[in-house]
Amino acid sequence: MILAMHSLESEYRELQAAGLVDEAAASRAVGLERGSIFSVFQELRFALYAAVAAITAGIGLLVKDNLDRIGPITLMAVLALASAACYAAALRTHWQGRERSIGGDYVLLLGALIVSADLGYAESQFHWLGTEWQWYLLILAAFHGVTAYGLRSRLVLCTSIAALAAWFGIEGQAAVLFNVGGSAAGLGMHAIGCAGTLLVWRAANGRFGGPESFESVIENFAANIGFWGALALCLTPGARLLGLILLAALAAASIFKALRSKEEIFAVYGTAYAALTLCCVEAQVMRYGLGVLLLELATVIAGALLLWTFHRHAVARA
Amino acid sequence: MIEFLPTPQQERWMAAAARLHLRNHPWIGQRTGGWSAPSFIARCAFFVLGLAACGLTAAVFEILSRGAALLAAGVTLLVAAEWLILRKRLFHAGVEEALWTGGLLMLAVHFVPSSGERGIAVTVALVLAVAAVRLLNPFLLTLAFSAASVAIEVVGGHHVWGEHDVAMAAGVFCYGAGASALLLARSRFSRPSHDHMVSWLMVIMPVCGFLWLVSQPAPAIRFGTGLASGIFALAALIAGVRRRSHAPLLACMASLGCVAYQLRDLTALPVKLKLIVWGSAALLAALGLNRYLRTPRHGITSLQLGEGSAALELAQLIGAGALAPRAAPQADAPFKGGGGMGGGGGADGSY
Repeated sequence: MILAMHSLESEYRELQAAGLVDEAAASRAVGLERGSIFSVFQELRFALYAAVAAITAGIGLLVKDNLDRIGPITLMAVLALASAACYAAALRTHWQGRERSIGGDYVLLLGALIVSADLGYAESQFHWLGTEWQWYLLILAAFHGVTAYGLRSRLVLCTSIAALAAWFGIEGQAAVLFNVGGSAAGLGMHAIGCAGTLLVWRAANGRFGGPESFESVIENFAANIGFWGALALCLTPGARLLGLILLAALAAASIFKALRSKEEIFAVYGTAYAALTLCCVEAQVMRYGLGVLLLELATVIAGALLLWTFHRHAVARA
Repeated sequence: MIEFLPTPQQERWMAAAARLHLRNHPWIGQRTGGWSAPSFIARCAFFVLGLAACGLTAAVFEILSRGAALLAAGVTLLVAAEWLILRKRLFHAGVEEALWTGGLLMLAVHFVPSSGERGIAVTVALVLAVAAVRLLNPFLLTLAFSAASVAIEVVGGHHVWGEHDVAMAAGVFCYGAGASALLLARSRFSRPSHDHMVSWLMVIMPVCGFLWLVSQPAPAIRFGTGLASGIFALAALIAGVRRRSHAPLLACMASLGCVAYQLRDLTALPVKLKLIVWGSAALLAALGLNRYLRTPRHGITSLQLGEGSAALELAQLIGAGALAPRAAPQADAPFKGGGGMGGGGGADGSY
């Protein structure tokens, strides 16, 4: 006998009787509750990610150590063969007109990551681009972008965006943001530039009939990179006003997007990023004391209230 | 009559509505008694904002009443959290959880003498446990058990930091808590939150137990932790498959990771090759399982059923982006600051 820890079967039946869900959805939910059908999709996804992460880390170390014994040509050839095998599996599925499984998705991601490592290693060894070596990241972003569109892969699209962000100099180093007077302003401008490029990409995707599922990926990256850029500018004395203007624009755009598309994550970006960034700015520009603390507290409460208002608005619309 | 929490039936309606994406429907609102819970992503954001509010409130009272700052801040935060729960009927909303836990921690720190690690460790464990019970929060309960393992070590005479004593008691406690949760999960709970509490404990506590003992170089301890994690992984796998439950399967995977770590010296290969070889083995195993279960076997399938969770989808995308190499592996090329040509000079050349 299968023992469920708790069962919501009776609730699903009642929902069906009330007409809130159709019979198919209710039957599927009941089946899941009873254990007559059980998906290990999430567990497999987790295992696949861990495996790909381990292989990528191993390849990264391998490339970093240069492997003089093997030699660069051999290493590059081995990596190219490995990535070709990964792409071949995805291409075969694509040409057969079948939908790629979660396993196929991660094999393709592994192929893309190996290509990144291989190209980076080749550039470091042969200096094809000379002093303009940064362009290899853009080439990589373009290659992954083309592959992502050709094979309809959201995961490869993420590697493309990550390569583009790296070309702009965004490497997820949060410590740089708080290095006032240092490179935070430069990082902020690069991040804003990257977010802007992503928004243009998103618009082009919509205009030229790109996959709809890609839009949310690009938008999420654009929002996060943009808000980090605004935060970096807000923390830089000379660029604070520009940072605040950009922060306000991004917050308004995010909340508008959330209201229009019902995607709650953008409401979270628009309120939480804005509230926490404003707190940082207030702490920087005002002298420490009761006034600034109360202002920061009010900012946090206002952020929470705004997010809750969005939640209530969603309830009311439903 | 004051309702301190949703009834089990109301909580079940909230869970059913969340699973079928009907959370905001008015029909559901009637059955949940007006209790309201946002999505997981919003809950996380509310929790972060709540934590920020806790810190700022404590800082405000530090200026206003230096001697009793923690007492005043703690009472204020608890009152605010209870107001949100009782009047606004928030349940698992994040903000009330942060305020309640932060408030009680401040009260506890005010009243408990700050001398010694012993009192602090026991107090933190108790505060987290009380908060977990009040708020029915699995994360806080898991933290409470973890803090209890620290308290066990401290009360046992060992210092948590700076000594290399064998944390056997804490390790055994954590493994025991995980095993008990695995056994307890056979029961049928009326509240989904009780279910989640047991699930969190069975996944996290064996890993905590392993972490307490992993730094010990003694072969017996290394063998013992590997064996314990292996036995737990096997038991969790059997339980997960028999009960058709995700938590034991996740517990199995986490414990298998612990076993793999203890087997790291099985071959003399360098770390990079071990990562590639074992990663490839794991990848092939996962691909094989994925293929095998494409056709459901005894009701188990590798196909996705229904829509995925938005939080998991987002985590997957961020994870894929995080795996991508960051910058060019240049050692001798000069850095072109200030954006370079076309803004492309930001990459710093580290690899």
